[in-house]
Amino acid sequence: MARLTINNLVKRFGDFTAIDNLSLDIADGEFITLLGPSGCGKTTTLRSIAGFIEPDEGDILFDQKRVNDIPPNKRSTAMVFQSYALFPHMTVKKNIAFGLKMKKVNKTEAEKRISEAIELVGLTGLEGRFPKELSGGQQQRVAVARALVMQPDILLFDEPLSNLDAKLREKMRVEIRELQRKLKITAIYVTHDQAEALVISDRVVIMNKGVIQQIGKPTDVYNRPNSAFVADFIGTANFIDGTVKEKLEADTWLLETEIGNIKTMTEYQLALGDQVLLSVRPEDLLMEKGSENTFQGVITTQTYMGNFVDYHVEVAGKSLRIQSNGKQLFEEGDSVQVHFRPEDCTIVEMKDVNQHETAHQ
Amino acid sequence: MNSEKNNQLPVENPDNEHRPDDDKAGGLFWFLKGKPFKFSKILIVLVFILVLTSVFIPILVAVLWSFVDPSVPWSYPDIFPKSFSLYHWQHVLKYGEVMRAITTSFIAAPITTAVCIVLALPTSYVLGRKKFRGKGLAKLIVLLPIIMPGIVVAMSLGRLLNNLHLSQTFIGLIIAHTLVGIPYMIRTVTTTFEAIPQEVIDAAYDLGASHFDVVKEIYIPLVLPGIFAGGVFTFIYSLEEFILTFIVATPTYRTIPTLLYSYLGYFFQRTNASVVSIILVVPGIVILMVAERFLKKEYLSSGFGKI
Repeated sequence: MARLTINNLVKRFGDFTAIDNLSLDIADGEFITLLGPSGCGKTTTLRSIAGFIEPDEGDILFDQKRVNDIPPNKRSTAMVFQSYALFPHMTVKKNIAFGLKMKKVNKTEAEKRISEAIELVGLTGLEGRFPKELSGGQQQRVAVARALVMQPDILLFDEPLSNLDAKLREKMRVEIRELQRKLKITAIYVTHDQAEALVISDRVVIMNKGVIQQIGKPTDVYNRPNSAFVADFIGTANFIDGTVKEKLEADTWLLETEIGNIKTMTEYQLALGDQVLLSVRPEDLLMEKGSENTFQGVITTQTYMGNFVDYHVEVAGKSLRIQSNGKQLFEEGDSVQVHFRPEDCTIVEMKDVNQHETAHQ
Repeated sequence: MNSEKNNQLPVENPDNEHRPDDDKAGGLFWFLKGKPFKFSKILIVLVFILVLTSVFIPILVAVLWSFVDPSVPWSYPDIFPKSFSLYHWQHVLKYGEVMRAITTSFIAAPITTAVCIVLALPTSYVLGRKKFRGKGLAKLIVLLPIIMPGIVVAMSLGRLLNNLHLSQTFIGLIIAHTLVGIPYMIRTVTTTFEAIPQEVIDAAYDLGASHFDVVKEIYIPLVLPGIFAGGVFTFIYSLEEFILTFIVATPTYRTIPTLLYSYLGYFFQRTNASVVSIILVVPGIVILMVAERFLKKEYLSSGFGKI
């Protein structure tokens, strides 16, 4: 229940810059995910917010109040750790009660909040168990309840689901999302799992090498990645090199590419001769004839995955990955038409600005 | 365990004659090649016989001697005494010096243990939780008192305490016992400190705990099994310590082992020596058995989540 502002945060470990001038503004009650490969600085950022790491430069503000010098035990954050970090010598109830005891919340109030939290995460009846007597999913619920019971301003999650199996992970991420919506707590969630990030967040922050690559709603970052890194990290992408050939309409352009002429829609202002990198999602490539952007190809591999079929199709010497539902099954060696809509291919990089200037002369 | 498993494999698969594991075992024990299963059994029997002859039988003989009836002598060719009595027990316990030695021993052991705990906790905390240059060396230095031969430690410590006017004092005795007992304590407590995941500590701070709270609520309960294990070592060590006590505190303070030495040496009395040695051995065995049960339970209830 607080707005979080991070201004120009820098953290170095020796020669390694873990966070490189990061700024971020998170609204009250918003669910934000920090997503990126390992070593991208997402956990360092989270631990700086919690107060475990002292940043070298920059400010962290809760509701516009600078908290840099406030130690972790005085910050109104609560964290759910990757290993759950339950206290092994305490029962479920004592684990959940720990924070309230530390904050000296009065007995009746504490009891009320503890039983609410236990009920909220569905641990009723297990209060007297020790952590080692619980399954992974149950331990995780204890960790969540232990954080929620504090009624923190900001809830922090450090890859909380990475130790669970796939089925349980899917279930828990929906539960965490619902809990957060119900309680309207500002939440920051660190993960390297892009599917988890898309499902759970209001906005996704994609990080790489200590730098924010893109911030946006899940649909934005998936459909409109602003860089090849983001397109590749979230989902899979086919990258096609091209040159701007002709302006068709205000936002529609014709590109000359390695597989042929492609019509694309973009909000970027392009100039004739610009070199660009296009990204097309495998599921946006359709194996049918369309009115535009239709190419001839040959299937080189076919992998049946049950809910979809994964193809590699060679188009003009370039291998494209296509995912289609298994309704119409093609075999390896089949000749197919490949088609995609202009709005489904995204320009993720513009290169060689110099050349475009010379083209103008 | 592992070698036993490997060795059993050929028995389970008699058709499969050649296995790489056989070659490994056969390299050193070439004469046993082809019969590895039998070999592990032989080893177990050998260890069993060794323990029986070196530990169990002497204790049994001591027990028998302590209950021998003085009016009916136990002599060749009798395997067991013809008659038993409590005479020697009553006789020994009536001796002032025996009771005094027992009292000294059982006061010195808990005090030594307590001093070891108090001194070891901060050391172990730093060795187990902090990173610093020369940590490996520090760990080695801590172990020096048990790496050095006992007589070397005893001679130099005796001289030192003498210069400090602490020889022939109870404090000197405690200092000597603590010096050699504390490495065991530091060792076990350091290991338990190391085993606590940093995230558990972070979680406590994150939930609003102060440094004092973290020590009281997290560190102490979690290292308690280590303190207990170390305590068992130092307690038994102090009870059975001989050389330091002999040099530093005898004859003013006598403990059970130094008294036993005099019964076995100057005034050899097999029956009295038997009684005293049982008084010395039994508490150790009982403590170890209790500790074993307590530690198992304690470690079971302190599994660190899924780690």
